[in-house]
Parts: sequence; C-alpha cells; structure tokens
Amino acid sequence: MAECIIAMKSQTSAERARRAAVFERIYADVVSIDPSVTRHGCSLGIRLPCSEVERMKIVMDKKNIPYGDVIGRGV
Amino acid sequence: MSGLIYLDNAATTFPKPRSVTEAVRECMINKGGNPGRGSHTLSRSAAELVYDTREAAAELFDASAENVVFTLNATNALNLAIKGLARAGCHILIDNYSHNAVYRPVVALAKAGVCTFDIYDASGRVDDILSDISKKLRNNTTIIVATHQSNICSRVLPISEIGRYAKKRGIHFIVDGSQSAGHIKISVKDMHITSLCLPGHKGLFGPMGVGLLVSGEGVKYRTVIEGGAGVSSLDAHMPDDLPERLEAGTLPLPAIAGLRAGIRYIREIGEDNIHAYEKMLTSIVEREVASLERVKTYGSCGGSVVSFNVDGYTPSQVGEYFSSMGICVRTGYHCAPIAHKTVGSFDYGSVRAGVSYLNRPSDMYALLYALRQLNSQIVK
Repeated sequence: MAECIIAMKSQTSAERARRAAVFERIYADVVSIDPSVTRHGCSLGIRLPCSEVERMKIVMDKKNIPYGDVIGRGV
Repeated sequence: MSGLIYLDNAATTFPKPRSVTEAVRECMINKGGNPGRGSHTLSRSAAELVYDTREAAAELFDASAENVVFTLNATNALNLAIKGLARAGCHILIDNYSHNAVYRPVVALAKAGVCTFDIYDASGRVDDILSDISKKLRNNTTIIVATHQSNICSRVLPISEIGRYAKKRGIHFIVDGSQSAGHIKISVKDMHITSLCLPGHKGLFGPMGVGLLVSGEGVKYRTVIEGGAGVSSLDAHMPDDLPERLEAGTLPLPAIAGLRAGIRYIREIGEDNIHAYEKMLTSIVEREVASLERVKTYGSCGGSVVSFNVDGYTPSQVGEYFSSMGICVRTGYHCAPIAHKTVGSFDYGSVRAGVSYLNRPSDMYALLYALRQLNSQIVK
C-alpha cells in the first residue's frame, strides 16, 4: 500500500488532522518531514495511505485545518 | 498542610485535587519528551497531551482548540493580548477594577507613545457601565478590557453586554478571567470575547507556571515574544497561525498535564455548582460580619472573595494575627490599586479571604472566630 504525506503548517494542525482522520477511520500518524522538502525548515506532516489523500483533504477543508503539499514519502 | 486553613485561593488555589498532583507526577515520570520538537514516541505523546489540554480548555470556554494558547500565567496572557492587538495611535479603555496585569501594560504602551487610554466606571449597573464606556469611547478606540471578577471584592462585570457592545463597534474585547475562570461559566463565543486571559493555577486548579490566552475566531496578534516554534525553522518570523504564533519556546509540559486534570475536575463538578458552593462559603462570613462593628467589608460579595478591614489594625497586622492562628489570607493592595480606589480601601489596602471548592464551612467559621477576637479586643 503506497503511503503519502500531507505537509502540515504546525504541530497543532498536524494533531487536529490526525484526530480528524481517526474520527473518519482513516489510518494516519504524525511524522517529521525532511526540512529540505519544505524550504521552511523543520516541518510535520500526516502520513496516510495515498488512496485516502483526497478524502482526507475534504475532511480538513471541512474542518478548516490548514495543510500544504502532498509529498510522496517521509523520513 | 496539617493545621493550616488556607484562604488565599484568589492568589493560587491550594490544595489541588489529587488528580492534578497525580497528573504532574505521571508526566514527570513518563512523558519526558518536548512537545512539537520531534517525531519520536515521547515527543509525540507529549504533543498529544498538549493538544488534549487545548481541547479540554476549548470545551470549557466554548472556543476552538487551535485558538487556545499556553502562556506562563494570566499576566503573560494579558501582555500578549493587549500588546499584540494594540496598534500605533490606538485608544484603550480599561475598567476601574483592573489589576496591574492590565493597568501596567497599558501604561507602558502609553509611555512608549503607542496608545492612549482611559478608565471607565464599572461599579454601577449595566446601563451605567455602557453609558460611561460610550462617553469615553473615541474614534480610535480599538480595545476594551474588562475584569470579569474583581480580585478584591467578587464584583462581577456584565461581560456579555460589554462584549456585545464592543462587537457591534468592531472593537477588540479582552477579558481578564483571573478570578472567574473555573468559578463562573465563560463562553468566548457567546460573550463576544476577542481574548480571554487567565491563569491555570487559580480556579482551574492547575499548577503554577501555565496560563491561557483563549481567542475568538480570526484574531490576528502581533508577536511580543519570538523564538523557536518547532516548525518552519528556516523562516525568520513566527508562524502566522495560532497557537504556535504566540508560543515561542518550550511549553511547560508538567504544568499543562496538571492543568488538563484540573479542567477535567472542573467539568466534572460544573462551574454552577462550584459558584453556588463558594457563594455559600463567603456568605457565612458576609452574614456574620455585619454584626461586628469594627469590621468593614468592601464591594459586593456573593463570589469567591471577601475583602475587609478591622478598625484599629492595618491589613498586615490582621494578616499576621490570622497567620498566628494558622489562617492564611492575603493582605495589602493585591496588585490592584485602581480597584482599591473604586471600593474605598486605597489608604491601606485590605485583608482578602479567597475560597475554593475545596474549602469547608468550618474554615469560614475559623475565620469568623478570629475576626470576632479582633473585633472585641486589641490584640498585641
């Protein structure tokens, strides 16, 4: 199963996203993202099955959780 | 605290519920990671604890979890809110029960030439208060600050009405909830509060070292303190979004763990029950004190605080006498000289007894006994 990472802007938004995912029965956890990927330095993301990315985006949009790009893999 | 009767709960509640001390202990032993500073197991579990506490506070104060900022204490929260919302040339209104945690930041802004300010009279009825605010309002008034409950006399300001007034005019509404949080129900949403500032270690029963700044939706603060935020470390500025925008540096995790337990304790009992119980405690003193001719109380009671003086003694002498009897009270100005001017105790300040849900009626009777002693004789 391919895994994707959605970049998050903060610890709080990452935690909000993880909890929203649990509520929607999407398996997701919070991971660090390689600083070189984001150009902003240390960052966090939520790792989840790539097949759930679109559903997760809808969930986050609904809940006003800010998120960034979808990245292929974490570190 | 064997043998001591603690009635200085308006300064900090003591003792704490057992669940609070257990939570701090558990955190110190098992949750050693720095929240938001890594993705290892301990850091992650610390981050979850932090977010859990944000959620608990958000539920208690009817706000969003991401708008709950951890601060050092209420003073820190008030500084972040007042200085973070003040803009060059603005005018600020503060009430005449304000603590120095409100007064001094506003004076500092005025001295720096950033803002001007006025003090509105909040001692009357709602209409009188709003009328005085209207009189003092200027075109450039951008912030109104209100003390929810006075720290010297249990006077409760009509927060909902002032909030509605401020919202209608697009003015930021900052509330000092130091003496009301955990005692009286507060809704950031329904009371139109821009910034609710409060300590964790008073009515919420948390440990010292943590406070909260709970904001309404879409509030934009300038930063007052900058530093590490755990994310976007290559940027030269703080993150744009709350709560990280205002949380520079490592959070006080053990205090936050205790605060979470304290908030759960409050939610279990309910603020209405807490308020009713505390009112019952202070009314024991209020009722009896009326018959003691040398004892004068200040302001309205019916809350968690009773302030008084005994004719012939300074507040310090009364405090020392009480202390010799094992009763802990606060004496002096309680960092609120403006409020003492308002209630008429500016000459010497006052003696303050502050109760919590963990006091018993017998504590109040002990205080009354000591007061009767003082009332009937000169104690050397």
